[in-house]
Amino acid sequence: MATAKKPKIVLAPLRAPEHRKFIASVFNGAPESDELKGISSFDLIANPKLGELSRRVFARLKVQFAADDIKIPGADDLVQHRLKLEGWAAVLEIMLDEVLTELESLRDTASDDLDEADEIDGPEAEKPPEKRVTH
Amino acid sequence: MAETTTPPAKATRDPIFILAAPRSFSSLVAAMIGQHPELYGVPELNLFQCATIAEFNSGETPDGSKKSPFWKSMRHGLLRTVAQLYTGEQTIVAVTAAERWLRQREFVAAGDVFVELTEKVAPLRIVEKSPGVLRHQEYMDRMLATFPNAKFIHLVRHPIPQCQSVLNAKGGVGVLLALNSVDARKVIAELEPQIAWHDAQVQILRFLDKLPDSQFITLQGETLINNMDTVLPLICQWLGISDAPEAIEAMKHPEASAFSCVGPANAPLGNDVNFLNNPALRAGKIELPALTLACPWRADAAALNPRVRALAQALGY
Repeated sequence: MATAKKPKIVLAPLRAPEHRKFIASVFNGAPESDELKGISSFDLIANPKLGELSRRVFARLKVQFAADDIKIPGADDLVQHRLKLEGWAAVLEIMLDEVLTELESLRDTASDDLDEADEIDGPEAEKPPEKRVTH
Repeated sequence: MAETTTPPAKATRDPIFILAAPRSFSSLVAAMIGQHPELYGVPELNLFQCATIAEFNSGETPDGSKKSPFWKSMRHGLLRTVAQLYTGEQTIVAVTAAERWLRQREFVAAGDVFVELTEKVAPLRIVEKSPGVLRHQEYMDRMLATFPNAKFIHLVRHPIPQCQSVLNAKGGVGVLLALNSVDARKVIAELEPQIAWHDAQVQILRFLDKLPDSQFITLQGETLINNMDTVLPLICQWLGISDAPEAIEAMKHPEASAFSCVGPANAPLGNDVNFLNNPALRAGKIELPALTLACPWRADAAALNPRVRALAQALGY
């Protein structure tokens, strides 16, 4: 029995030369343009019909984006990464605290020593101490 | 006498670009072709929508306006590609490194970064598609100026299922509104996806007028998916690459690409999310509706506009 022959598939460059005009103006009355023209927020505000359509579109988008359709395998990794960074931040904060406390205490000690020297020796404490010779 | 040798011919690194309206099987087809052993499929890089990497990083055009409300996620494809090519993995840390890689190139022309990527994958050739380039001829002109010998595939999908698909896709209605794909002839304005289908094809055809016949082909996505064993070798022959059975077999596994999955949390996308969730080819043939059928999305059950129908016929439907 003869079978119907499949049409031969050829990959050709199709130019459709009679189709070079955009069609948007046919549907929405926009002036014909040589460039693809999108819609601006000004258009949505200025044109009540478009404003009403945009409200419906945004309501639909709100519903669509409320649903999470993507399970990100790395999401747990991201949490781990954040926890790790938070851990580092906590350690660095503690270290910074300790360093500052130590610096403060060193500064306090130095200043106490100076105060003590002032109290004992009075204004002449800045003079180098004399060597006392004991017999 | 010293023996002279002819230097080996420089391997051609000119990329293969797929030009297609959204929801036209472009993620699947780009991944399939990119699985050929001599090629390297990448996600949507969206580089040619930018003059420089500073523009790519900021998502702002030189006049200060935003490139797209979705620009942040439109960066994911390049981040994943750089992470994969330069660190060998796509992890949060690798994507962070890719961000640094891009910051170091702030003042480099976006086309030059594309060239850098082609050199990185050489002798393989990059296969790429970014539907965003259809917005302005200037973007496609940048592709041609950067790669005057690149090959282009005009990928088409039947207008009725394509329109249905855009309307059903997450965010699709927002895209249609932004593109002014609106029928405002009646008291109540409605989204009309056939406008976007038609004008995307016209935009591509206008660009292809700048190329000789040898530099592009028109491919109906359904013809490829329904006749892979015939069409894939034809594509290989046109590209001048091997059409050996093992190469064709590799092309039937788009899911084997490193980019055919959801990426790390800081760059999960780079492609259509439905494709990333289910990248493997599905069994079964795609049925084509008659071009005269009533448009299922239209309340008045009107058929396609005659100009849309005529263009679809001129493109092989």
